[in-house]
Amino acid sequence: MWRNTQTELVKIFAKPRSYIGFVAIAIIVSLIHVAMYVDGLNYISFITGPLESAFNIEGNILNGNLVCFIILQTLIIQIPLLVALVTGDLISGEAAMGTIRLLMTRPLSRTSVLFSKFFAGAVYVFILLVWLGLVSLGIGLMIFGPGDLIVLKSETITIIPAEDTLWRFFAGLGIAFISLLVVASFSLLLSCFTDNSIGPIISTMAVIILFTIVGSMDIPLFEKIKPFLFTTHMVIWRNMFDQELDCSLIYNSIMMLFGHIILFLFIAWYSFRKKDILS
Amino acid sequence: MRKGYILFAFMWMCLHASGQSAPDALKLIKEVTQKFNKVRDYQVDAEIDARISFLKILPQKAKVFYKSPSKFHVESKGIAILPKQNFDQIFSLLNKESNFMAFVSGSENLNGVATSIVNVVPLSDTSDLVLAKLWIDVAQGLIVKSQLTTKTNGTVLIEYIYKTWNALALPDKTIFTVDVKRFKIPKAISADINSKATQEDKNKPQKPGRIIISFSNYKINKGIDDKVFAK
Repeated sequence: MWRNTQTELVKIFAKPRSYIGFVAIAIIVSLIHVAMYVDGLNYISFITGPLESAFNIEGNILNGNLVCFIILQTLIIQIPLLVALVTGDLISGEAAMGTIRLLMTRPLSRTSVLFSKFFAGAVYVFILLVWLGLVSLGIGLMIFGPGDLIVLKSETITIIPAEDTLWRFFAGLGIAFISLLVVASFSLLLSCFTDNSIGPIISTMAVIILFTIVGSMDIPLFEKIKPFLFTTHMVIWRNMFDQELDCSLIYNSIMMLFGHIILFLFIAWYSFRKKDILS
Repeated sequence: MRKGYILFAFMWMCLHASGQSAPDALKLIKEVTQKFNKVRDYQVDAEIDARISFLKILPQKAKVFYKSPSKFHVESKGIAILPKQNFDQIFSLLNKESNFMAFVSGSENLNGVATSIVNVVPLSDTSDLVLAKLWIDVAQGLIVKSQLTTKTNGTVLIEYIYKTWNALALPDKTIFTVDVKRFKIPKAISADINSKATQEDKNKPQKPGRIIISFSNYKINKGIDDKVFAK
């Protein structure tokens, strides 16, 4: 299985589209860094304005931790697209190129092929997140220095001491990894049903956008649906930046995300095993 | 005839009261400022504990620097939330008698301490301070509570707790109580799509914010470089 996963990884990194994510992250993060360096204090004053009308804020507000948090908050919506670009192509790409029949002639079970592709996708997601962490936090700290982190929620502001932020970023990225695995498994599932790559990629993004819109609207009907949408649990990484962690909420969300991964993989496995490969 | 007596008595009381209270208020204020004027400069460790309903922050350690007459600086390693008013703002006003008008408006017993309530009105049109109400411990000559009404920041209530430096009117603890508005920004900006304020939360009256500053390790009149205040 590992050998097959390695082969799948080679296939992923042989495609130019796999580097779009890395380049996009580097460009977006660099732009945010430059913008923050030039005019960051103005941007921050928009956030801290309501607080500053009543109090004085002392200390280094614009720091590497805050810039990294802003980047993660901005990018976490776009990263699923970058993941789906690769994982939505894993099966359907082979079908489109006509290599899937050749692949099936190898002495490998379909289960092994499918899970090798999923694990290779997971490794890709992991590397993408390491890259994101490196350029956003690493370079952010180098440019702006460390400092206490201001976390903005719609009705509260939390200030986390600088020495308490690093493990939260790691944990946040860890949860983001699980969230992106949901996207990877979902696009892999859609990939099993089509013979072209565009369909699964666009469908994945459409579903994420739809679920996000439903999740962000305070309409009583949607309140009942929200707990079952994976997008509701994908943003749970932000809860790692609460002063007192709501462990049961985080645990439940992580379990829901794993539940979705298992469900999508099961459906993908079931359909892939029964798939009539004609191309 | 009877009405005339009553009018005369009332006018006599007013004249008597104004003649008595004005010098009393100034005398009380002088007693307070004399103590603080012995301080040329000080440096003190502070622990700032901000208790504001919408703000979650741990108590923050800081250093406070003061140099007479009005240089003031707070230095903290992390982010600290401070009241808009400097700790010495009231002394800056009270130092010149020509800056204000004062009168005693009553007396009150605050936790067993007999206090006179002195109202101070700044005479300058440009002053941000509109009215200062001071509760002065008559026996010790210390401001134990003040209520500052400002043009820009509304009303701030400040309580002073003295232990070690009564003689110099330097408090060991100061508690600021400030009116705060409800904090709310759109979900799209905070990217906080899972948050949900209940109707009950929305209807709850907003509690005033409190900032409790505990001072320790005063270094008084040791000299402080002006560069510290330029930071």
